[in-house]
Amino acid sequence: MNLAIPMRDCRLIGYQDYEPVSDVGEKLNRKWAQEKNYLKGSASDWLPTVDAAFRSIRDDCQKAGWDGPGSLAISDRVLAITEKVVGALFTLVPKGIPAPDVVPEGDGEICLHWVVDTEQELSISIGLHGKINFAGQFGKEGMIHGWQPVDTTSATALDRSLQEIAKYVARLFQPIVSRSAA
Amino acid sequence: MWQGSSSQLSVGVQPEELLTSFVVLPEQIDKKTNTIKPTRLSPRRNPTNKRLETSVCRSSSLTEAQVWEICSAHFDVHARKPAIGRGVGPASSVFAEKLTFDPDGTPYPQHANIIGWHDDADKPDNELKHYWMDQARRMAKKFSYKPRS
Repeated sequence: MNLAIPMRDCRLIGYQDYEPVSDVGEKLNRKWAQEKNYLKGSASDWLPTVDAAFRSIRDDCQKAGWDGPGSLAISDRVLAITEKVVGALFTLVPKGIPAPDVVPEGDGEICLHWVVDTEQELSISIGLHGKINFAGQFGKEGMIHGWQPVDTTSATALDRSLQEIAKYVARLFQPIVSRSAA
Repeated sequence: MWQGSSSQLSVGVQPEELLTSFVVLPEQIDKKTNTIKPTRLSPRRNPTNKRLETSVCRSSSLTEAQVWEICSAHFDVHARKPAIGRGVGPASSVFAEKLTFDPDGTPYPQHANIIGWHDDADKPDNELKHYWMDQARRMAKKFSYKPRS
């Protein structure tokens, strides 16, 4: 169930419009997306940034109480799921979108947080329950919050379940064309 | 060690009071806005009374040194590393979200819990968390980050 407040539909560019009808087609589509976005060592590459954060979480947050009294440990399984989600989102969003901040949470989950400025941000929270909770603001367009299922059983299923989240991330960074510039 | 005093605290938390939320890791700081990440203000369910609570320190009447004495005595002892800083924000940002306080004064006189978070006994926490994220997101913008002195 998605409790997000409806906003105007966000149309992404290029490969997002292609709907594969077979497993082979889906694999090709995924490969194409990976090749298109995966520019290792460039500003588009999320991996070095998020890897450092994951190491920090492994070092500092794997024992209960790391964030004060009552805080829960962040398990290897939560880290593994979050790494999968980050990897999948990187292939789904348009090239050039910056890596999220990876933030450990006191309830044992991990938050991915994209911030443009004080009026434009998106957080998604990932745990072991097969759901992603999200909340964000898109400037004057409005705010959203809700949850949706996430399927990590295969790369294809994960990609499918993250489509809406990827659209929100893309919307956050879409260029704003002013009237004077047009 | 300074043990704290409740003599300057009003019974209820006032909107103009300043609150402190201790920060353990650099990942809990939003470097773009120099505020704390919303996750630092998200509630946790108290295992005893099942209530959703966010622990904060009422810091208006405290010196910087007193704040860090409280942190050392009541926060750092539970964490793997001592806190690196704190988020400081007004209680008015909590009231703006229709949340309120339980100024329980435990385990130190200035301790309070932010309460009144959206809750629903028929739903699991993992279907409610987005409500808390939404409120914490707006509150966190008002909590400026200050490194430990």
